[in-house]
Amino acid sequence: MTSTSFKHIGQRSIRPDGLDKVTGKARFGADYYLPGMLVGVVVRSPHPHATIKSIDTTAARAISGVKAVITAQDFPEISHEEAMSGESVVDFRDLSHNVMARDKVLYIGHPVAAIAATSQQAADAAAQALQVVYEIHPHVLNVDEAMASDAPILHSDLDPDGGEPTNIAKRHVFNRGDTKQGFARADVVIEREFTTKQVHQGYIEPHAVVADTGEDGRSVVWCSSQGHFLVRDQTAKVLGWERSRLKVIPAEIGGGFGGKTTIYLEPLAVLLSAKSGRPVKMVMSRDEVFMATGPGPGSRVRVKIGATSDGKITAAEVWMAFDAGAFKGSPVGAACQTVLAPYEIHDVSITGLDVVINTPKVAAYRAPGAPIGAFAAESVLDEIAEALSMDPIDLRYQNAVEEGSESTYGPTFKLIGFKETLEAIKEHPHYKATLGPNQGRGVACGFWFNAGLGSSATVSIHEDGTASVLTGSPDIGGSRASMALMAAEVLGIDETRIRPSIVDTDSIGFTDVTGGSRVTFATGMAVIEACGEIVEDLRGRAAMIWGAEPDDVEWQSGQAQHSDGSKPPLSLAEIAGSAAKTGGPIAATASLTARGVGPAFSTQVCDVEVDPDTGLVDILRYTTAQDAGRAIHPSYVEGQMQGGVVQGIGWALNEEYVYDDSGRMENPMFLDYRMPVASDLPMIDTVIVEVPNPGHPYGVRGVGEVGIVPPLAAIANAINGATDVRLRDLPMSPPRVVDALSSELNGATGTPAG
Amino acid sequence: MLSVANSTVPRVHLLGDLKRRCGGRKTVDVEAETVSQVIAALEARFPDVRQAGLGHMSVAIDGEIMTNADYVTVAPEAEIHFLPALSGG
Repeated sequence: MTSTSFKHIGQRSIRPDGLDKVTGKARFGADYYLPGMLVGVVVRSPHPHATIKSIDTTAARAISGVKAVITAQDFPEISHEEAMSGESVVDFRDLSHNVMARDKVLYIGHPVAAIAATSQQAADAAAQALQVVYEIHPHVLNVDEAMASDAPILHSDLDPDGGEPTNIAKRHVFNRGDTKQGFARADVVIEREFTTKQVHQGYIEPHAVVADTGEDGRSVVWCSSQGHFLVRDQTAKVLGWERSRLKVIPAEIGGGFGGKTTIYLEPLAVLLSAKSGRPVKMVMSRDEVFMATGPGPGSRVRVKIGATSDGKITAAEVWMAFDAGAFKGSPVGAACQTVLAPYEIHDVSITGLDVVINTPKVAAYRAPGAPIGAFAAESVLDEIAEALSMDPIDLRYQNAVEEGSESTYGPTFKLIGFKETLEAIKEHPHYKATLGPNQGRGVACGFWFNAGLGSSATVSIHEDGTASVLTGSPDIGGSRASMALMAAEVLGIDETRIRPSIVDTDSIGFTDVTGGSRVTFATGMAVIEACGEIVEDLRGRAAMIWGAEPDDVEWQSGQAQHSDGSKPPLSLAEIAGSAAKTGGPIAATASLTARGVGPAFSTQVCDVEVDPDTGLVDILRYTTAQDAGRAIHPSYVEGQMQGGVVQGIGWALNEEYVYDDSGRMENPMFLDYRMPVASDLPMIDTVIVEVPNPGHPYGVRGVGEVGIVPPLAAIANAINGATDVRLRDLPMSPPRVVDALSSELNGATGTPAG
Repeated sequence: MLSVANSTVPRVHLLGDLKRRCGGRKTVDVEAETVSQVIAALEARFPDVRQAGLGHMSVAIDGEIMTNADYVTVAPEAEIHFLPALSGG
């Protein structure tokens, strides 16, 4: 199927939500107000690791205007229970203890109480008046400290090896072949060590919720999230409620990037509303977002790769330790699977450790774990290419996986487009452009699985021939436009006549999170299926009108056409206009678990200029090529590609959680937590590669995540091109670059593997 | 039920921790028609596999990674891998 066979798919239609967003009319999480609404605040731990000896709420409750105070005592105790929640496994006990600390606090910002009052001032005063007595313990702030032999232990029940409790929650191992023999066949072997710091997803909109619990014990919740069904189900679990007691209404979302695939405020607001009998609104401040919601993990990674003189990789060993924050569950398992996935390597050993530390529990962040692994592996590959005097793309191409290749994590790849992305970059004018003084060029690649999961869609045809498409997938990247385009393609009507909406948990079938790059693929599949049912219905109604058999009716270009041409065509609007006479309302619903997921690959090239005096790295030019399978709406595919790159640039150059010795984050604001802004960046050029996914009716693969995987290494490799110095510790901020250049001048050669 | 190695029943490929729990085998052939039957067969033969929590892992059938796949049919000659569950952003 080629793109020229589509009428609507591949068009750059105007996004249905665009006008409301540029005029300020769109309602985000904090934009909801109800009569009698209270202000809710969270009282948070000032200590990174302490036992709660007592909480006295008497003084807080006595303050005028305070209507409710909740602590751990108001939550049911939940035993350890791991279950699939969206793509990931969630331990509901840990989730509950992260929402509200029980006997211990495990990071600065850990909630210990929540208060609802008639004003912000009263709520803040009550928070100040709350008396909490702590017994303070030593803390650990990174994986090195946490794995030290004398480290304080956060949890008494983490012992992956069956011995004494440790801070290592889990050990992932992927071994295949014999790496010793593989390295023996190599002509060049390079082993390096890398570190990265915690980084935040950096969504502009803070977490916000309004909850209104009625006399009947049911609650309505308004919030922005990457999955309001997940919010409903996790909140119900934490509160011990039946799910039907909660209705969650999705607000527009001002960014999530994985960080809004869990709950923080929602159970607190529901409980405060239940206790006070009034609606409660809670909005995090920016420093609360930084100090209490999921960053991506920090890490230490060692990579060793061997290759023959003609560039064939013979073996690889990877060791990674990721911090999970206060509770187990870093994405190190995904990092193990993705770190070498673009390459065909038969002798491989990969170990990943999930390590708890006294910082906020990490949350998903765009291709969770993959950028960290790629930073290390793609940097080492670049060194191998350099050592072999090979073009870095040629080295990667020679080892690239393709259909039928066995992946390093086990399964065999189906049809994929990795080599096509390498070809796209090598043939791009960018790759041949001349560089100036202090300028360098770097390339890197990345892989992400993508996801399917559950989705629902309801499509209704109105009497005037327009249509509604309802889904349960929050739109974080323009997916409403893509839903309309796919519906338009099946129905054969213009997408401007279709209104796509995201509706609440009582108004559509269950739908998993907007994450895993899955919405256009999976929810789109539900839309296509529902529209297909509509078309069958329309054919039947046309047959009824004509006195023909349904098999005599074909659906083409939004019209029913008699197969022998004996009847004038009937448009969708004409059939819809007589719906009452032909069987009643025209609507269809599809709910499915989407199978046939197609993974994504990206290859990127970056030019930088490094100021040797200040260490400032200027991104001069950046081009990314990505296999989208099929670009339903090219503008939003390009937007996802560009967004991923930009977040990767921030991760590479400036972003990091800076903790002081007491465990307090020193930069919990965008002024000091330096994300790239438009003036820091060139236009990110995009090349959409389309190797259709055979598992989707239109060939869609997910596109949201893989774009963030290569930039960390691409930029590090470009800096090496400009300075002949390799940086292996993120971020590569001006002070670190200056230090590295100084070390090079003084004769040091980077960080050898330990 | 497990069978001797042959090419007419699903084959589970084992890496790392699962390989260790299955006595160091790289592959195990199982007579099963669904993923849940594959898990049951593995656990019956290798009781230590129960500690691995296969029910909470993703499963790749002929290269396609799935979650909540208990009742997904596995064809004869299917290639099966169990993988840590992911969290996408």
